[in-house]
Amino acid sequence: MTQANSALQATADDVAVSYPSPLKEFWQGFSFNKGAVAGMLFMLVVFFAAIFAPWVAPYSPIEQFRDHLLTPPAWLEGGSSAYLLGTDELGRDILSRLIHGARLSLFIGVSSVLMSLIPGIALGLVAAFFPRVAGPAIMRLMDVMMALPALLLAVAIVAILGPGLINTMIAIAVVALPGYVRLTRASALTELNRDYVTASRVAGAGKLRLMFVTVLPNCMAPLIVHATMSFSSAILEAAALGFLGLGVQPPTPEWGTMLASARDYIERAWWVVTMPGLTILFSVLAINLMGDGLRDALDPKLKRAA
Amino acid sequence: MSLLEIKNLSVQFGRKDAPFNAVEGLDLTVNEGELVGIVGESGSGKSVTMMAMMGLLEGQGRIVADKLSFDGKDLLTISARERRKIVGKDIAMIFQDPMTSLNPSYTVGYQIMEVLKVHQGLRGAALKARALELMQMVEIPAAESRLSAYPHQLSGGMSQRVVIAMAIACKPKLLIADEPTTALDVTIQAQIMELLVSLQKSQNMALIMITHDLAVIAEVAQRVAVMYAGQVVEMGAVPGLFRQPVHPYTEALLSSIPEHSKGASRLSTLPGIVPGQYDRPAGCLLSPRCPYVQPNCRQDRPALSPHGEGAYRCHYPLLNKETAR
Amino acid sequence: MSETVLRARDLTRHYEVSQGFMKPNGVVRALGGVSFELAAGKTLAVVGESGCGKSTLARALTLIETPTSGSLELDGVDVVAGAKADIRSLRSKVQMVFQNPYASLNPRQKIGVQLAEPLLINTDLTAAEREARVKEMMSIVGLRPEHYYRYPHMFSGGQRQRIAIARAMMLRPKIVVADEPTSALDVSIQAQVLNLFMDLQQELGTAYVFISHNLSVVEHVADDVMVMYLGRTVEMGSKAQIYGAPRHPYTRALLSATPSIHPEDRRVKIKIEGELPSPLNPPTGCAFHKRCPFAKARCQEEVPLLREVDGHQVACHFAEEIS
Repeated sequence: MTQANSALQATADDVAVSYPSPLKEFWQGFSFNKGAVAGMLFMLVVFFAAIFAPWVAPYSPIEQFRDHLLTPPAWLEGGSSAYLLGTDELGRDILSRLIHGARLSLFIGVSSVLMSLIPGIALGLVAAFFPRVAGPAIMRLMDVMMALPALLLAVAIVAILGPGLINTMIAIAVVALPGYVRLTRASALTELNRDYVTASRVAGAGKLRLMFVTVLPNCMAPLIVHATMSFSSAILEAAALGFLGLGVQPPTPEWGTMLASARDYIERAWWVVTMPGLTILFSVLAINLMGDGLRDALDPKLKRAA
Repeated sequence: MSLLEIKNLSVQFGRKDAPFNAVEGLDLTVNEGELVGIVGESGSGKSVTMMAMMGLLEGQGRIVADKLSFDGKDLLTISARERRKIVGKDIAMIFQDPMTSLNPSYTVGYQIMEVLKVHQGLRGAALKARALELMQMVEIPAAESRLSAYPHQLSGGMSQRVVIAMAIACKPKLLIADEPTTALDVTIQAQIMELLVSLQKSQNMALIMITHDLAVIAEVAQRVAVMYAGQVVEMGAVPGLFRQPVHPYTEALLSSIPEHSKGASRLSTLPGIVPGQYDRPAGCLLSPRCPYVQPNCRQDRPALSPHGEGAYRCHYPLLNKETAR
Repeated sequence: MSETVLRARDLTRHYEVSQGFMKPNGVVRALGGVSFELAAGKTLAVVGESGCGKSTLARALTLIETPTSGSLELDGVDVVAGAKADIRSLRSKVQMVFQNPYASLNPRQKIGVQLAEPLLINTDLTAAEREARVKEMMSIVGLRPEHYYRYPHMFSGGQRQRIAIARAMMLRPKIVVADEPTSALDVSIQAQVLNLFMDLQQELGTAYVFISHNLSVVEHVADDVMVMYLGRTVEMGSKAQIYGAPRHPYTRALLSATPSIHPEDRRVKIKIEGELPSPLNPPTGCAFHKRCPFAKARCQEEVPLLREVDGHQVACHFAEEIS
């Protein structure tokens, strides 16, 4: 009797409204932001170039053309269409070096973000779920790390571990860690007070399940946005470390290292410095625009009520 | 003469080619010193109507009306500047949540005095005296010391009293109260209602009470308009409308109140939900849920027909039906 | 049939509240000694305004918080003294429905996953069995099978509350604690949800602890009513006694403050002044004396104890004189 009654209500209850899938909804929010789409397109090109670098790049990045030292870009007087963006002080093709450099820069970005995102989330959740001892201890440690200037800390870490690709990534990850921990903890704390978390506790869910199955998915939106933004700062920091000679060592092509080794030729051959500089500028700008779009699409506060 | 007259008001949102009528063909008159209730479920357009009337929709919605006049002035044609002179002075509004309608960074006294400064040009001692007088009018104990309190130091009931004090500061002719007691506890709710009604009488202002709670309206209002999905479906005097509802929706609302079906183990319900933006039916808006629905209800939208002092919007009104009490 | 599933005796819960640097911590007595019994298949309504301790009571009953003192017996097992394993098995016996259906469902999980969670944690059923159980419960509460794959934001408030009720019923608990389950809903939706509660009780024999401030809803659902004020029970009895012959001035005040469609039929009319006192600094003696129209000198000094008057429990010194 009850079933029949309730079922009857349900059919009337049910209104044939089709809701867009979460992915489509996300794309609608994201594509509303034109800058974000432009940024994403640029980054797709960069990613494509990075992945297929050996086929896309006209030359090997370390091949030296001794009779074409410091050739200007193709559209300038004295330029050659063989070297579109010109060559550097050792006669290496700048375009090829930039394309191969993208591989390294993006690799550094992705891995250092992952290397700080994963421990950051774990530490942040622990800090939120154990507010008596572990929480304050973790947060004070993060406060200490934030009290040091980011680049100085990175330099110090590289100085201890020694220069090199892996150590650069570790240094960048450590510097970015406090941001993730604070963000995870803050959003986990707000979610913890929600009724659905209590509902899971009433159902008997343990701490681990609450942390990773119930709460974490609801904290992901700000974390994804933050990860995108820190992807760009990772590229910048890698470039800065490279510039200081503490990052990737020559002759490996890396955007920051390219900048550093070209600084003596600023007056004679501006393109050697400008090209890597512009590449860094545009990539970082594109990623930040993308981050803005992600925020628009993922932040539920800005979402219109469903 | 009526103080507020609204004829055939529609408010549209969304794109021009696929508009969504949040309010449709709404008629409402309010006389001076009258207490009118507007009742409806969420999404019925009761708040949007009032926002549209006061010009607070900020260009989000398109407002169309045959007539929209307040105190002899045409609200459709006056400039934004003139409108600002009316809204806040002659028309005041109280919102549901007192905690968010006060600015947390300023003291209560400062906020009341700000209103008095802007609209009445009071200064110095006269300003302070009037602020104090207002606090006493809304029966705030220890009014003088409370003037320097910040909103977070007051309870919900006290904050709502302060909000009311600010609303009546300029002796408005019309006060609109949007769910003024929903966020408050039962005993406090009764106190605030009593305060509002006594102020309405002593100040001789008109009061429009927007609420989803039929019982609140039944207690205080002289006339009531029942809204459903953007339309007024029934209008009439209290308590007549509650004793003998003519529209099926009003009847269903009344009988779904637990108070109404004492002793019965099941409450009578209206199946389904209020139609949203995308699923408005073509005919009568209630037709998918109405227990008395006839074939032509699904095609033709009924017009508002007068009935006694009020009106209803239904093809098959419950005119001769004895409603159970 | 009338086996007791829930027995609380002198349940208290205190919170320490920091009052600022270098000041001693204040103590909030959110629950100041509450005793009651609930029989299987019956409904006890807990009525009171904000700060009366009803939400704390709900958290104590659902084992989210341990009471500071007193005893709590769920289905014959003492919760406070019981072993951890026992308490784990008790989880499946008491479930909760929350006030706000927009906050009580996890926005990032499909309905089916959320409904299956209690089964996943508390039983050894296979995935297919869980899905079958979930779909069965969905049809009982009036949801369609295809709702299994949807997210909470695709539902209206009333439907969400159906989902929340289904989740609470998944383990066929003996007791469901419902904390203001209809106060966020519209009138006509409220009626649908209340009907669902009543139907489920009939069908599954669940006992309800129904927390509400709405006396007309309570009158509809309750068998027994407990009125609370500032962490204490002020009056407790059967529905007929509380509504027919309320003895405590606060109960009378609540009844007369509840708006009614037919105001002229109101049974009692009394007016009370003033605000709810702060639980951090409650008045001496009877907590209600500052607002009570019948207060005398004795009320300021002596805390009235719950005693039997006229067949039900009242905590007022002058209960006999009020009628």
